[in-house]
Amino acid sequence: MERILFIILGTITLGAALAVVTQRTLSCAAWLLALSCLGIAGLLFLLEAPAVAALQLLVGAGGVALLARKNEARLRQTAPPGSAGVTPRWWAGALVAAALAEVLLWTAFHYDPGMVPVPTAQVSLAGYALPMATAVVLLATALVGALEVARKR
Amino acid sequence: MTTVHPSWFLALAATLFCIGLYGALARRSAVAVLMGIFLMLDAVILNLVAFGRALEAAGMGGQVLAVLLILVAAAETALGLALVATLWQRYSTTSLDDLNSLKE
Repeated sequence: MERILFIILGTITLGAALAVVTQRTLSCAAWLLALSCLGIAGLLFLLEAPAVAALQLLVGAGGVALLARKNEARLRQTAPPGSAGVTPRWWAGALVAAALAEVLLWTAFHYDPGMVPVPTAQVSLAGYALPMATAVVLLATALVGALEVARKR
Repeated sequence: MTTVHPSWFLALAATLFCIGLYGALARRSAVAVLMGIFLMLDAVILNLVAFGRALEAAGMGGQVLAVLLILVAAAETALGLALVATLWQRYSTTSLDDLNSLKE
């Protein structure tokens, strides 16, 4: 059952991601990105990480879908259909991505958990309170900065 | 405990990362490049959680790092979109091929 779910969610995620990078209309690409994030949230649930999956749903799928819905007209305005294409040297990007994919896939299928040393100390959630607080402050600062940068003069 | 081998999650994350990399390298629009970068970050999040699950003794480390990465991705996307909005206001274009004044 879990394998079937993995295949379905993986197909949705990869299919939507491929559509995002090949789609010529930005508003459609944004909706497909939200679908891809939905697939990733499903995979995170499969990995028994409900907190991360919920955050991915909120920020990834929810946030992107909201941005796509609110800015659909503006996305069409900034990039008319057909103009959000590829650069003349798109083949170089495809070559780099394919080479990296080969290396990473080989590593993934030759990965052996037994080869990695087991840490002696148990990691506890309490030790991450300060990094979490720092990350929240970073996010708040980034949002304020974004508002200031985008403000019409 | 999931019956799917961790290697399959790693392979999926690797494929997703490379798709995002192609999008970031080959697309003309700044918004499309940002979407490619977002896909790469999502792949890394999946990777972190998969490794954290595979290495049981690591506890919550993988998930906590994934949460931190989601926050960083949100901050980066917000700033990136603000920059794109400013570019559009000033130059009426978001095509990276047209934004080449630093070349001169």
